[in-house]
Amino acid sequence: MDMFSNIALGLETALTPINVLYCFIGVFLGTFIGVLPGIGALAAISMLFPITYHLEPTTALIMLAGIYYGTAYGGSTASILLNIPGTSSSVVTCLDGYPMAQQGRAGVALAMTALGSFFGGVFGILVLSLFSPLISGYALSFGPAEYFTLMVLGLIAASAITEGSAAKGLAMVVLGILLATVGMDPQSGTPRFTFGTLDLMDGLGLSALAMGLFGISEVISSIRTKNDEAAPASARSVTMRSLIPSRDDIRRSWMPMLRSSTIGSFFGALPGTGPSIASFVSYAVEKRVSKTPQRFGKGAVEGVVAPETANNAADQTAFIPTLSLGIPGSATMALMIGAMMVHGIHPGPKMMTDQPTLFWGLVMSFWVGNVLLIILNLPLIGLWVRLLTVPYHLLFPAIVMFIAIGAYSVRYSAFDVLTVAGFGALGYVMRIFAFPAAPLLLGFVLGPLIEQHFRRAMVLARGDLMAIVERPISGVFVVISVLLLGWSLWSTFREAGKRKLLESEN
Amino acid sequence: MPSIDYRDAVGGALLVALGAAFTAYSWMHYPLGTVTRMGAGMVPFCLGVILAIFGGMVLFASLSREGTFPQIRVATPLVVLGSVILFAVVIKPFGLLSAAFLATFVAAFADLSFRPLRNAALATGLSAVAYLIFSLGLQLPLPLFAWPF
Amino acid sequence: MKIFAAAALAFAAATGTVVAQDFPNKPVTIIIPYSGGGSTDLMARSLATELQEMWGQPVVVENRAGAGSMIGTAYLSQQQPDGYTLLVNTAAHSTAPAVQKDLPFDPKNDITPIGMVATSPYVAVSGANVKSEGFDQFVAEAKERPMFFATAGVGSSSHFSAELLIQQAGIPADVVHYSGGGEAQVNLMGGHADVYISTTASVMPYVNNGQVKALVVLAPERFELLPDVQSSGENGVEGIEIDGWLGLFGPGGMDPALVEKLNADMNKAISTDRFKKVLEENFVVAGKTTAAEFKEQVEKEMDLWVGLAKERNIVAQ
Repeated sequence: MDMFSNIALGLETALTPINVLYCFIGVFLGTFIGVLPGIGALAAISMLFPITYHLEPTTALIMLAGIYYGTAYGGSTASILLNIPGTSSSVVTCLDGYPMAQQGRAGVALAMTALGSFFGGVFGILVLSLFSPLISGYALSFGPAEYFTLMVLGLIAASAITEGSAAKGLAMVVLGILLATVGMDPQSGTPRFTFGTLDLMDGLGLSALAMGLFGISEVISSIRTKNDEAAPASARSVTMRSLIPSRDDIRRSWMPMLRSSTIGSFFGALPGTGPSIASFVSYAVEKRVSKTPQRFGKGAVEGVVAPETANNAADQTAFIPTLSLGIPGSATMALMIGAMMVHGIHPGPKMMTDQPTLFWGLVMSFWVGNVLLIILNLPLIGLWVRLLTVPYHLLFPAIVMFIAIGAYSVRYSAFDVLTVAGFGALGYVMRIFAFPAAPLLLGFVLGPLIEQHFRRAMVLARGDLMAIVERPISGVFVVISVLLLGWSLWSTFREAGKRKLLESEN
Repeated sequence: MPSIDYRDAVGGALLVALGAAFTAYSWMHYPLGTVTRMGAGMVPFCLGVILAIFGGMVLFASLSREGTFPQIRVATPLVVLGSVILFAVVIKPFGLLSAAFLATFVAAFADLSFRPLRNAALATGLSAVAYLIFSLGLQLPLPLFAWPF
Repeated sequence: MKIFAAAALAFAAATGTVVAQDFPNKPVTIIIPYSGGGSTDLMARSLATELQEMWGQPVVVENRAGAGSMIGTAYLSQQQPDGYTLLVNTAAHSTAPAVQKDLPFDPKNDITPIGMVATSPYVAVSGANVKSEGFDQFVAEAKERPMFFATAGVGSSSHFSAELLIQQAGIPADVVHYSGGGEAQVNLMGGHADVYISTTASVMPYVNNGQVKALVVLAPERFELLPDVQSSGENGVEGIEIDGWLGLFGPGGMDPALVEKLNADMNKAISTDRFKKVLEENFVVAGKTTAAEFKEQVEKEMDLWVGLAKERNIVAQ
């Protein structure tokens, strides 16, 4: 059978000592970079890009890819232990990961994210191996109208993330979208809210926002001065009580893993969307389908498994448009394609047939990488949990330093570092007023996609709004969106009604 | 004077002001266009209104509820933010290690315990770590030290 | 007479203007105003490799992306004009200033054009929804069904060349903006937009994969590396005589002798066998200009685009 010979060929390539070595280097580096807040896969791969000139193409790609999906394993570590996201796709993991750590279940959280990441990665690889041509063909039929309606659907679905006051959560989503309008408007070329600065022409960076809003503000909030009451010891103490997930945890997790893998694979394969959106949507879906949604945000293991599974699946399927269409779905993928082009390899529909060694060698190396990662990460959990015992006053300057260097390294811009400081200030102010930060990030990521694709769709449809509903795929999304919105509103009113009933009974 | 939830009252008011600012600025500076032929200003204009509405809801809800204003820390945030800003200012003229040292040194004071020696030692250690990871490990092409004069 | 020459030389050396003699004696930085992996990035890196070998000094590449290459260019304008900081850019160098009015530097005086690295005509490719094979058929098809020209963004060379073609060929068409050539061509493949115009380096990978069709080259005559593709000139379209290019730049106020030396070195670098392969892979030809010729061309194009921006109402705000 053709698939078996492909697999055999791939394994032969992936399992050569040098490829395994570079795979290990890649995933190790990737995990490490994922753990470090501030510096991300994009910066690391850009820095190591020149290496591709000196290595065999397959080897170089294996290493770079290892860094890429490796970061999705490490990113959750800082999220869980410190409430500071290691990567922008790990922001959602903070929501339930940190509470779990505060309940002494850090080890469990880390273990479950490692398992979930592995599951998601493997799922993504399977999708990549079996369905690439099918999916890439399908992805092409997604035009601006389809992206628009899908993103709206994503926004409605993911707004379930908001805890507490709906007005506050939704206000933050809107604020996020507003912050994303800063920069040159892609449709008209008009600079919006740039106040004459060239540095703002490309808008505010997602990484700067995530690190400032979540990282710096968390540091500010967590520092205990001698004027504050002593922090309760349990919040930061190490209890080796349960490093091992209970049967209950696993029982609760396997369905979320399945669902999140599917969602992650979907968004990963769609160019222009990726692990961040996947993490939000999968978390929100789990919260909606759960019979006990009130546990979310307080240490529900599903809330940790869902985003981490999804972002790993998305990172694997991100290779589908890259390899089979030659289209970069993100800046990092553009670097991957660049690495291939350096060696004269042009990814595209013919790649599977013209370069089977490279293609299947790379795909099989993903297996190797994911296995190496789980072997690498599980024992490290003990190490990371011990990190919690480092006094915070020694730890937080390190965090600040990593965030600052990471922000600077994206384009050697001091302005980007200032942006992080600005978002740190905003994040702290938001904490004072109890405005949730996760919805802001959601709006920031989805907002521009919604606006730009809508305006583009209108140009292509020559102003005909109905065209959006008439196209089959986008029409389906519109229907689902309306239904979902209706259901959300109905259940919100029902909840309000129940509460009123309870209050009136007292 | 009936007590209200001061935190949400101020918070809501801030949102209203912010929303109004976005809407006003968009209306004054950017073409709005129509819904099907949107100009650059349409989205911020509409969203500013929506933000103000939500802010109004928060504000309104706060008026019939009691709540205290949370304690605001001033010194710690200023020190932390200051250290990040310091990094941004120092890195180009003085290089990576100078910036890392100064930023971590200053940041360490954010816990308001005045321990300059301990902080200097910490800053030195962290700068060394930065060197190992970024200059050696990742080959970041940044000058370690520079002197602009 | 000799004494006079010697004194002049000594004076010049003392004031540091005779840098051309011992340049370079320390590492050189080449700025790429785009993020890594794109065709510009790869070609610039190849150039850096050639220069490094020639000079025996490290030639380091720095990516400074943003604002359609203007962020990297603004950074360049602030560096010392001593030849140790250079920049490689596409024709975006001449199109972006036509759209961005508040640049913190003067595109003509604060930047020194050094030489042209590579050039090719712009190529228009068509997507899944376009049935025509040749340009003449295309114009007819466009008159029946008004077309959509995709661009990589407002103020990009794909935007300006699209406007130019639409205007000169009288095609009923609208322009729709995407974020980057990749996204534009994906939409072509999916049949959502119809045409995309860019340099060969940008489109040929997709043409060779059979994902888009090369429709026409925007030039008076056919392009030698693409002999089977019609030219706009042979189809009776006048007034299109601009090509896409990749150029080397330095900060403003560089010593003319230094510029000449850099131009000469660059021309040597692009004629090595190794670089010739790079040129071939990208379907471009080596640039063959002196610094003065290049500067003239750049400034001519800048004026052309400013004019076109006014006529076609492209100006942002």
